[in-house]
Amino acid sequence: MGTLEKICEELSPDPKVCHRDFRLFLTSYPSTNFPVAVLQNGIKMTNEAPKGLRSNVGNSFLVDPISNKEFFNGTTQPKKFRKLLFGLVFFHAVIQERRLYGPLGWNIRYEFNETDLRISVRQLAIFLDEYPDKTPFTALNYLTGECNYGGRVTEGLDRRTLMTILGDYYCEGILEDGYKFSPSGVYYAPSHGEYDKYLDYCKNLPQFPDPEIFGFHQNAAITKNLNETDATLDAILLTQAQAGGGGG
Amino acid sequence: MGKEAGIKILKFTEDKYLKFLEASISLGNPVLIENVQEELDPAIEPLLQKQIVKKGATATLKLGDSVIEYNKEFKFYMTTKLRNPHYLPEVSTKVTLLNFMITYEGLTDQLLGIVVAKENPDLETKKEQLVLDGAKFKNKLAETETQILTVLQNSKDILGDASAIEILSAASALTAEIEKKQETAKVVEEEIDESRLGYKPIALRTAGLFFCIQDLCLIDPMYQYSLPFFTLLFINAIQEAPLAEELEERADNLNKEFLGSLYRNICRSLFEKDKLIFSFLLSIKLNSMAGDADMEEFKFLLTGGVALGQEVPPKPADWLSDNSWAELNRACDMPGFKGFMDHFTANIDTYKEMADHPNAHEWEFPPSCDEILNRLRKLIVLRCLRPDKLVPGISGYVISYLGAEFVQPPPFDLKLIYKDSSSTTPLIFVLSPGSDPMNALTKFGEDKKKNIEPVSLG
Repeated sequence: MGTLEKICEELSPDPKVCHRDFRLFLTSYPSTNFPVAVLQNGIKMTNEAPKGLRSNVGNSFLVDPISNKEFFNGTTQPKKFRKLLFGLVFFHAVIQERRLYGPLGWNIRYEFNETDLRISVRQLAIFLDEYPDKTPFTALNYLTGECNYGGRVTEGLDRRTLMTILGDYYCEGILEDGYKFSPSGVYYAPSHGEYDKYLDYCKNLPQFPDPEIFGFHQNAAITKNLNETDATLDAILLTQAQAGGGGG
Repeated sequence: MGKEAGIKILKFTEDKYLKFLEASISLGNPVLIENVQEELDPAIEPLLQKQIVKKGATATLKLGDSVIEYNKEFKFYMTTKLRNPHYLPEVSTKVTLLNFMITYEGLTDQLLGIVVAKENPDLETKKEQLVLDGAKFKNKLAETETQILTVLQNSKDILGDASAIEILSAASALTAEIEKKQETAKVVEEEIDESRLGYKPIALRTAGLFFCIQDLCLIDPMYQYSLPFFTLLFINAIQEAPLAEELEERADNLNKEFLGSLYRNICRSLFEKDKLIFSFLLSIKLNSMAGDADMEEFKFLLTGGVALGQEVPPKPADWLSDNSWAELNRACDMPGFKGFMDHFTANIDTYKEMADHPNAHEWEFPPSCDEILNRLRKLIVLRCLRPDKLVPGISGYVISYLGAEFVQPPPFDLKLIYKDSSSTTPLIFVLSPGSDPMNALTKFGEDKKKNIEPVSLG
């Protein structure tokens, strides 16, 4: 780490030392050993699945490949594709959010991530293009649920849960307007439209989703919320520990 | 101070720092070692212990393998960027520790200087000019004084010496003129100070925010923000904020712009779980500075007070849990909650509604309690009755004070971030399990038509 600090200090705007377009990208897990000087000097950013169903769905639409206009508009069956695409993105968010419910959600905290979504989206596009007449739901369900996402799932019952949840999104029904994801009717795949329409829909989702969308009873949220409250308050308390000494 | 003596700035990480140190010791130049950690290089131990041996007329010191001459003029400094370094007693006894941590007052002055220089450059140059003029006048006065003294000394018959009288009268005229000028200068200076005072609230507010982000590193070691970074944001905000005729309106714009850019810039380096915390800290800080939030009550919100084992009165209703009731009682001991207990017991049925409400954080308090409860106190009541809904409650609090954009972190945008970087500022991805920025990065590199060379440590 000392060497890194030294290298960073030797960077200078002098074109003889550094080309104007040179950029140094670093990645690191949070660590106390990371040199403070480099941290303070650099631009830090986190790259994390956003918290909350709304931002999760919204964010998925903003990253490659979905954000790529060519990809988004490039299929032969745009109507089907967009419906199913939305279902998939929503499914991705739901299974990630389920983790917050602890053992109620998954027996093991699986680290589903963007790559699962990315490959599934591509497969969806390929399958729709290859089979224009009849959408191969069984194959899609198998590939997405058992292979892509299921690859991480090591527990039998969790796998069954995953497949069941996916079945709600990858099915004939979603192609009809008016198909709702949950009894409350707040969540559904928006009717066919342009890219921006989907973004707008995401923005209007509730910030704190009810547990019903995950298939839980209202009370399931209490434990989760209590934990969240505790974690939040503890963290704030940490920042207060020395506030007096700082004179603030 | 050190510049004149040719101070040498070194680091432990440099290869040849010991060589330079030796040279400086024998030449008597001061040395500063930057960014030391909690552990010091054992090689400088003899220096710290001042193991100086007198050999005849010269003092010598054994440093490493070599014995070198010790010059009395030599001075040794070290600085650390650690926030709260913990040095072993062996080190502490050998050095003098100084705390150069920036204070609230110091930072306020610094920021005031910046904002006035940017907002009203005339004022700042005028002020500088005044200082320079003042010095010039003083010089002139001293000159005339010496002149008078020389004249007095040299002339034997002062009344008969025409030239001497001429010089003296000229001197007295000059003094009168200077005095007059200094008086006007004083008036101008007062004027300047007064208009500077107009910017003081901005500086105070901004300084408060700085300490707010300083405390973030207690949550996670990666949350480090330097003062230059902060001032840069501030200067940018001054340039970006919309202009206005009135100072107050302008100050409003400036504060808003700065707060927004601060939030955007800090937020992208925070983990999801800490983003709301940051917004909440910001709003509490601003409110407490405005006098709307009581720090004691804020602490209570975090801890729920400490049970001292005192008796609590019997519960007014069965649906209240013991915990809630005890906490509520402790809350009511605070001066801000005067009268709330009576109100609560009188409206106990209304509050049952809150306790059973599926979205308790959106529940409307009866208007009759508005006199007692401000928003923070309402949060405390929410904490007592429905702790599970506190996080949405906090979010509502932030929205009501700062606006909805402070609970919706901006999406990750590498292009925007890239704009802020330069060839000398590294970009650091702080990772969390399961995240992999490599794809986004390679894609970004393709867009920029640049090749990204991945290197692994080790």
